[in-house]
Amino acid sequence: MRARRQSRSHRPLVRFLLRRLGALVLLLIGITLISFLLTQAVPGDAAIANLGQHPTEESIRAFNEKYGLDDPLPVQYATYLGNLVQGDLGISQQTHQPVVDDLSVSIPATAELAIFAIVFSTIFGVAFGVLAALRRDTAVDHGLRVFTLAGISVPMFWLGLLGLYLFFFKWGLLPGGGRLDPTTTPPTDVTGLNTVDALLDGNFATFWDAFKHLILPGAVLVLYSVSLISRYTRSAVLEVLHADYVRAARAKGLSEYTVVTRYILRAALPSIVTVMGLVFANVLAGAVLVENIFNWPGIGQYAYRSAVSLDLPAIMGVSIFIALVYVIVNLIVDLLYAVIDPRVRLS
Amino acid sequence: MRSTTLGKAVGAAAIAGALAVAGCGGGNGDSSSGGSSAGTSTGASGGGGAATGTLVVDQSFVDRGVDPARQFTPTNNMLVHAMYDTLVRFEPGRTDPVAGLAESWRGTDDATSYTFTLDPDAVFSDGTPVTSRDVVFSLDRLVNIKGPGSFLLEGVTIRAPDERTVVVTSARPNPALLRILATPPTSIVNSRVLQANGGSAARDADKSDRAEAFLQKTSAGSGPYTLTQGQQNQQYTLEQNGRYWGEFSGFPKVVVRNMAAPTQLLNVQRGANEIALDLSAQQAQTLENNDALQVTTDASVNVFDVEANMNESISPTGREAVRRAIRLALDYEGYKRLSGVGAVQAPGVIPSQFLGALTEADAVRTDVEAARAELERAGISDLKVELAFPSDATPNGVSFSSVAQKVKSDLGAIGIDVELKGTPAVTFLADYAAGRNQMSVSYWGPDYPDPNDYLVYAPGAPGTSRASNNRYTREMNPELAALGERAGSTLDDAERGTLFQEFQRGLNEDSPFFPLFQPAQAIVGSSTLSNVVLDPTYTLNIPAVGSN
Repeated sequence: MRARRQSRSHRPLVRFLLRRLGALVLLLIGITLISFLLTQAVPGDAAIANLGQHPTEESIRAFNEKYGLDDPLPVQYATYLGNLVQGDLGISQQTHQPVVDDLSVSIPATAELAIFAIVFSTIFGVAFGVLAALRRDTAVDHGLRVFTLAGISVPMFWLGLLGLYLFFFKWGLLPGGGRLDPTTTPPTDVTGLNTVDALLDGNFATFWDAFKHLILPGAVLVLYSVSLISRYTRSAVLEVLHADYVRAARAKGLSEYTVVTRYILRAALPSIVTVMGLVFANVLAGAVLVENIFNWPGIGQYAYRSAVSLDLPAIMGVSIFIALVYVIVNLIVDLLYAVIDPRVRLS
Repeated sequence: MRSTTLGKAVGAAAIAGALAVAGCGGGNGDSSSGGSSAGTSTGASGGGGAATGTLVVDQSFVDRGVDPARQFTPTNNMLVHAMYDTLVRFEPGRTDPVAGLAESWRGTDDATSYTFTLDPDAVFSDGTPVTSRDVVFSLDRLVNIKGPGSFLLEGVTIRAPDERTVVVTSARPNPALLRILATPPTSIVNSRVLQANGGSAARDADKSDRAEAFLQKTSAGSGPYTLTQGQQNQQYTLEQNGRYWGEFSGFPKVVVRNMAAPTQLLNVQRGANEIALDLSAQQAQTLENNDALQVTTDASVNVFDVEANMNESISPTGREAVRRAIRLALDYEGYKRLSGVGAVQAPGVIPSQFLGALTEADAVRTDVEAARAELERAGISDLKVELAFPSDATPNGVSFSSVAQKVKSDLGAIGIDVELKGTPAVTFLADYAAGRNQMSVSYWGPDYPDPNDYLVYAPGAPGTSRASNNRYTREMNPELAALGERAGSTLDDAERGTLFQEFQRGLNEDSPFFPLFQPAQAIVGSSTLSNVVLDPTYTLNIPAVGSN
């Protein structure tokens, strides 16, 4: 009887997940269709864009045949969907490699950067936000406001170049572009995250090198995200700072640390979680610029190169990946609401 | 003190712009068909001892992989040349072929056939000898893959009468063939290894060849280096080929990285054995007083030009008087200044470094009054024309947008209203190839360092040529078309050079092409390095770079 009740209580979650997964499939089909139609609408010729300045009729014919570009559009799209179901995203016209292989290299590179950026921006963003709220209208609050506004306002590419100039060129504290020093042997590829793979290899020198290379590009992304999280956290904390239950907690004699972490932050968490979803999107968008400045071979660089060479399979692959990330992040955010606030029902 | 530092920081941070494509340039070609048994080393000439450590080369990649037969970009040419040998090759900065895998060769008097004798010492990196079978396989594969470099051997057949002899025959006289056979797409691969890994040279190799992924991970050549790590669009690591059959004087390890130009500017100042290939002339100038660096700025072999559609139903530039007026109205000195120190006016479509280039005396001079008079004489007024250009490309650090704006200003001075039509390169190229643009700003980087490569400008030139892009048909100037054909098949280089000069004077007289300038191109390297030279064919001859 108890087991049945438990299983019944999980049903809304299962139904919720199934509904979202169903929507995901429809969304992915929509994404592929829109990407396909938009790419076709661009007045360009993939063969001309990829065959150099001296394409012969024979090479253009072979190119179009190889990539199925001589088929009618509906056939091209149907073929793409058919292959997609089998996990085949096609061959990139610029790298000549399967798009899946290209993505398997660029996604971990961006993931490593994104994880670094999100972890540090969350830690500092929440801390700054709470601090600013607790010290409202003091020098600390004003100082943090200036810092966060600057973080949001300063263009990322400028910040990246400035960081390179100061920390790499002027002071030599951090390495320049790339994921590893040219003389460092890359670790055995297990996860694609150099820091993790180096640790798995037990090679701390490589780990340290990979980590040092993460700091500058990561910091540029962190600076923007930290500002966003800090502003939202401050507002959320201020909303609950003088709530009755917070006053009651303080009246009970609980320590300030406990009041802040257990009572204030807990109530502010839904807002923070919401902004985390936005931060994830910002990190992906920012990666395009940051990766170019720091020669970081991630999804941002790949997306840019695919777009400028009208590489349809690669554009579709990147679109699908980014759509997936957004859907999954939103799903996690929705699930977290229910975890954080028991009043939220997933139905 | 703090404000000074910040000022410098802001200044450096503002530096932007990357050289998208490193072009090719070179000395006067003086092709010899008599064969040469000069040294077979690809090593440094003109200096340097045994190099130690790691050489780091930074470039803004245009990377299509390192399968010799499937690539044809400056980045990949540079890498492929370090790992693979060709039948003949060029010394750093030169364009006259010397012995490569072939220890000697001889050509027929009509330039339709070359017979090469392979060096008996030549071996691949796995120790197996290089045979004529490998040469036939490699060159057939290049043709049959139908990739970006396949046109190089169009109409060419390759035979192997015996293990050490290769006969390359062209359907028509082709004095450029020897130089073509020094270009990286014609590199010789280990046919046995490649076939074992999906390689094919059959007629249907465009569908049946599966060796590209293999060649992206490892190399199968006989060159001074082997590929130890290939991360496309990111970084390539090359290490000395332990079984290299020639003299080796390069670095034991070379890392070639994809870097944006502003980052290259910082890297080269901090690195030890470092070379930056994409700095603009202005960026390079800021380093001239740095004793730790060597800076060379010279004219690139890329030629920027304005092009006009010859079809009157498409563009008003189809009228001869309009073209004459445009030619006189362009401010050629101003375009040079736009590119910076080291840039030169292009008197013709062939760059100053190549055989057949025009001299400064032949350069068109600006004469705005004469341009106005041309239009008045023809009774032309209120002329409007659309000028297309790729808005996202900056070859040699020169923005097409800036050039287009200057053209608008120049032609505005004679009453031609130019409407700018900047589009991404992919869109521009599609319209350009279809001959739909009224006028365009474009440029040409040589495929191989020989004037024959410029026959794409001849009236009625076949295929996707500069002529077809501008609807310039043979009927519009049959004499010039015939002159081009004669120049392209003449064997004697001195005579060929003269004919190509005549050909270009004809183009300058009346054609859809208005050559503007050869932009400045810079190379910067640590002063401890030798042979830091921009190479016309390989961009940088990596095996030749040694240590002082």
